[in-house]
Amino acid sequence: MKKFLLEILIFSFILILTIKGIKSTVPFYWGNKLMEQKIEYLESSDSKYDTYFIGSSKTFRHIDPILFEKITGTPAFNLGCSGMFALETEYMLDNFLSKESFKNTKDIYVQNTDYMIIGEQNRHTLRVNYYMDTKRLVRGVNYFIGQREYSQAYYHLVAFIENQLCIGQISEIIDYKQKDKRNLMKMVADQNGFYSLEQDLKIGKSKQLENRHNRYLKSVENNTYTKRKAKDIRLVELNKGELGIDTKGTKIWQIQNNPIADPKYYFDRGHYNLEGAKKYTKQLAHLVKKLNESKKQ
Amino acid sequence: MLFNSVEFLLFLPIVFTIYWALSKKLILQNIFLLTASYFFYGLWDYRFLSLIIISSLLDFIIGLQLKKHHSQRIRKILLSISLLVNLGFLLVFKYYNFFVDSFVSLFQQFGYEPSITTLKIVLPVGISFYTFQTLSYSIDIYRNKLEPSKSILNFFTYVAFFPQLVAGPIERAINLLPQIERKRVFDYKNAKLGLRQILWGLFKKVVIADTCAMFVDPIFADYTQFSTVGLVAGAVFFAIQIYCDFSGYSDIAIGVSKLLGIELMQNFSFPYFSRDIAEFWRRWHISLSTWFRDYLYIPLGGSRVSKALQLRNIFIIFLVSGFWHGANWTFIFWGLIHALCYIPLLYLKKNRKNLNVVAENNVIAKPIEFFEVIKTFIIVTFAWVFFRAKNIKEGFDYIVGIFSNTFYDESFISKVGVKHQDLYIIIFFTVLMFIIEWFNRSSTFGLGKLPNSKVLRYVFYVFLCLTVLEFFSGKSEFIYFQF
Repeated sequence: MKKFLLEILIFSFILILTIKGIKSTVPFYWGNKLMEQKIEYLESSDSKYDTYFIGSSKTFRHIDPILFEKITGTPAFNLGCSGMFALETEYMLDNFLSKESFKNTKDIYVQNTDYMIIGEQNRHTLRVNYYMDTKRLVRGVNYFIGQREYSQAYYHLVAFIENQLCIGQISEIIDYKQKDKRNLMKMVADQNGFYSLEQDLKIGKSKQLENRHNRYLKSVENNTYTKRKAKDIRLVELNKGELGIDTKGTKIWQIQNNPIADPKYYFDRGHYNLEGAKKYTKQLAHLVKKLNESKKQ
Repeated sequence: MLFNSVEFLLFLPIVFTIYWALSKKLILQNIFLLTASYFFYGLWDYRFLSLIIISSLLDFIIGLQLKKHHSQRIRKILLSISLLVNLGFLLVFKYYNFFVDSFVSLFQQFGYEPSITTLKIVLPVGISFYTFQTLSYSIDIYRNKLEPSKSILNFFTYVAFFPQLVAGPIERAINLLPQIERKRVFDYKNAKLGLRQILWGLFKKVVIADTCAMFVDPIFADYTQFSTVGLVAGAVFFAIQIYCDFSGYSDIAIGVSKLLGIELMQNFSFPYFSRDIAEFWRRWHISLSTWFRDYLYIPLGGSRVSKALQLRNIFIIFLVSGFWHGANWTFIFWGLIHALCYIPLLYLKKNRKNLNVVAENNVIAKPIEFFEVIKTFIIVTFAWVFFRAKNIKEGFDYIVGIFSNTFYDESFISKVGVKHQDLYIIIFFTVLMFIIEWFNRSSTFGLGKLPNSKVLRYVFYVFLCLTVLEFFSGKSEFIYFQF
């Protein structure tokens, strides 16, 4: 039995080493196309930023870094990305801040820190698996066990195994290495990573997005939409140790509350339109400015 | 639980560790094995565990009663109860709707409209397999070939033994029960072979069968849209798919059993290297064909009866074998085709002509052998079209399509909805699989013999593992689960 177990151990070691070797050929953000474009743009760009916004579509579609800079005087970039929830955001931050070129970042603003529910339709997909390392597994499993959502804890474990064993990823890695890199869309680059849903609808002409928008307009017209309560924006500094992120100079802030209730500022059920995004960014920028000024005093 | 799932990847090492940790106490080891088996099955649908338990309990009691009673009349009654209940389960869960539908359409031919409703019945996974196992137990005791098990735990573990519970091999109590009853000893060589067989089974299922399905499903779903090339490709890919799917499952089951110190019977012996249909049936789903041989064909007189009765027996065994696969006329028709191909061999006394492996002691087959293998493959593939079709008419239309749409259609790949790359990949891996199996055709499975060099073997294992991991979807069920 000992000989058998030893041989399994040796073989597993060789196999895992091979897998790690294959995986080392792709950068940490390879499973998220938009993030890939944004980070590669930042690495090739001469502009330097002190502040980054990171999170889901609610960051990507709501925060205009140029407007933010106008008010606060701080150069900023939007690293938001649709469908990027707590664990993926933490993974990105962890890896992003350990890169030499981003080590001097002063502030990071995180907006959506909800944990993603892994649904049946996105189980076993690269987008759900690629960021599932040991840190993310421990945090995800702990969180869902705390919530008594055991199937979610289990799905996170499966995603971790699939990622560590490179299940279904080798051909994606080959594709990734072979395909021509797609640069960040000029408009998104010009807007420092921000891209409102209205702009996306005009340029992308997505039928799905159009339907979503029309459905929302109809619900407002019929007065059947879910009414919201506005609450002033709040900034809470996050404990980096708890997040498992080890950076010295950078502060990580969580943006809390939704300050806009009026349906005219919305594009759909959960996202602002361009006007709403500007209004939201202004409020956030003024709060940051106030905070910076109070620190100086 | 599927063998090709991450769940099983977690399940197997846990079971292996606890199982051998309990090896000093046979009772504890068997309790654990039974619990693991029920858990394995229960993850699919725990409600149907009751069927396995009822079937096991009934045959356990009948086994003991058969031993106790010497009166032939009582023994016959006891055996009839076992047959009635076990076949009754099959009849209700698998064939009820088929009989009702057939009955209704028969009456409709004569202008009657009987109002009999079909039921929404879910087919319990593996029912055809474990029912046949429990049946063979009772029959063997009735025939005084087997002593009944005195331990309910051992008997329940035999019926529910998880590696072969849902898709075979259909293991007889004569072989498996004594292994469950005695202390198992870990065997290094056997365990290593077991791992190798699991890897080969996964390769066949995950890499080849599932990729073939990407071609087969769209072609059979919309066969009228395809030319000869597409239809032939669909049929050939299905022949490869069903072989790799089913023999892949058997390889994994046998391999897992070897890890647990239990030997299961060989279920496939490279059937596509057969030179005639008789040889094919000695190599395809061996546990089922020998089951029917021992419990149906021989009791009917086998080949030691008049020519007319031989003919009857052959038809019965092939039609029943077809019907075992499912409640559809297509399976019966599939059995009929095989019967029609087998009968000439029987009458010409050529059915036992090819008992050895093809090109024995040679690397390459002689042209005549090669021709015979190809001919057999074509016949088998032709029959598979009916097996896969929704109904017999569709099967015929498919065959007619092959001969009537004799034009080359370049768009066949795009109609299937895959990339050219996928076609090259599946061809590459299928050819590789057949080459490896060809060189191992004297072994019990495709990786029975490998080069002596450890480095070479490790490189090959790493290649197979990476390929399996790449194609691993963790979602696709085995075709034979539906039987």
